[in-house]
Amino acid sequence: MKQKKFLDNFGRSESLWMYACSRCGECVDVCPVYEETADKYTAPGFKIKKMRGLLRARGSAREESVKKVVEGLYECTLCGRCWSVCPNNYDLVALWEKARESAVETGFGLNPHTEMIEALKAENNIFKRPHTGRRDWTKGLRIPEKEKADTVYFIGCLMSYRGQLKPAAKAMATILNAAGENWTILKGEVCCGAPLRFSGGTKHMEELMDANVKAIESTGARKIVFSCPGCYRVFWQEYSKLLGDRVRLVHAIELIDSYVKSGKIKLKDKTEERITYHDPCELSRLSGVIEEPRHVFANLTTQFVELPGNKFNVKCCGGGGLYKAIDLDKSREIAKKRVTLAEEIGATTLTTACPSCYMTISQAARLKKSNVKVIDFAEAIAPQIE
Amino acid sequence: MTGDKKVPKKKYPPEMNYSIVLKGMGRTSPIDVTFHLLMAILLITGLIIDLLGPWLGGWLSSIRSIAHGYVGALFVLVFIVYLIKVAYSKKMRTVLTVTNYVDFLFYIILTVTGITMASVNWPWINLVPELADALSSIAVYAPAVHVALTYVWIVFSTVFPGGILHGLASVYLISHLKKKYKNRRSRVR
Repeated sequence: MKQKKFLDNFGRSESLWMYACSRCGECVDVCPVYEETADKYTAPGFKIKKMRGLLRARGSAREESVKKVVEGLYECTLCGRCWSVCPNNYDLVALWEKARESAVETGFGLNPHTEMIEALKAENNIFKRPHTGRRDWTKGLRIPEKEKADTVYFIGCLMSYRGQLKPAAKAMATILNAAGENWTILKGEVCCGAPLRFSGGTKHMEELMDANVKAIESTGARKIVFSCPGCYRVFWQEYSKLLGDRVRLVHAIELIDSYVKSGKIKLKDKTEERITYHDPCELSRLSGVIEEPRHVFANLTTQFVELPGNKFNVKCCGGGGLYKAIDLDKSREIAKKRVTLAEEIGATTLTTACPSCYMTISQAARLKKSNVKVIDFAEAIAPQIE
Repeated sequence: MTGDKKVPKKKYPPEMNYSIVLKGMGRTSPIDVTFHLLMAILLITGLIIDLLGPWLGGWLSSIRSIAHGYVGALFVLVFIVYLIKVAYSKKMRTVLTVTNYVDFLFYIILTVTGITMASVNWPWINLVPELADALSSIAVYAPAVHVALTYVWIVFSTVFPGGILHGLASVYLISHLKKKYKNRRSRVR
């Protein structure tokens, strides 16, 4: 009777929220997945209603009902749009992660995610590729691997193992070199653990965190730079407790903005390229990095255009929360909407500051046969450095 | 769908306190805030009238006619708007439970009995003899039903996750999280 134990990990806050939810339905209205599926089990407020029912039923909860709720829990990009409109300001992102954690603990976890947890345990990356090949992407590039450095560039799994992202990593390396940064990548880097939070395998995070902290501390670095907002968020939320205040955590776009402001890098004359920018949910809404990219783009082009549904209220690209592993088609449909918006505003280039968003949106643009060019923001900046 | 709904920028991880919740509710739906506020006033004044009536002296009449009566009349109007809102709002129907609808039924009966009791004070009621007749036939039972049903509702909505439990959970959660969120890690810029 494993269903009896589902949601057993809910503490006072989560249990109270089941009853305190104001049932206004605001979250239903804005959820990108519900908008796509029209299946009420994917609607945030409906999930809360069903979880409340399961908590009350306890002993008599049917396995089928739990399965249905769990499926709904994974049909979510964890973009936090539901939280952004919640009048009570309740941390819904943490709630979904906690419920997923319970699903995995009680054996209700969905297959793609449990496989990924196993991959992480075996090879320290989400793709089950050999850990020994994590730095293969550096071949042919001028990427420093020093024992000691002031700055660590934390690459993350996607950039390490996905060939399409190599130009983005290369561009970032160019920028760091141009700014004269004494930097290195980590020899002992492993997955940051963010995918474990998304999948519900949180209890395996400690091992990964220890390995990364040890590798970072051995370099003596005082600054860590991230291209992936997922890594960035898990670092400022979780790793900062271990690293303390002596290490500064910055997303690459914040760092580039500081380079531009301080004159550490000088950009060529502004282009006339019509560029737009998709705010990654984890960077804008969930980390507050909103103005920095706009400042950089204002120095890069005379034709920066805002993508509708952006900044704090950004609509997810469909690639968050490991949703692609659950429903690739729906994820792509969500991403196509972002591409369509870029087309409608006449943008020729769509940039983003997240490897996952980049992969999702660029695939959608290819499928849509769109003329909009999708690139990582670093690729837009690197060629413009004087 | 109003997926492009804009909200004021908030900070993650979020904070929760009474001011944030009240502002959030006001932003989301002023009707909801009014509905809840009026209901709280009616419940409190109703309990005061019923439990403390003999000790209120001259105040009893004012509380009954003004704080309970006129606020009740306002509540009836807001409640009608609220029901129309529910009827037309798919998002609300998606999240409301059977208990919420039973709660609404309670409110409807309380509203009807409340109007019946108040109708004896309406000077114009004799101009509408059919309405006067209809109300007078239930006027005898109205006060008892009104009071008894209030207590039944309090028990029902506490045992099942209805309005009372929702209210109690909200108050407790806000107080609990006010302390908990203070110790949360924020992004250092």
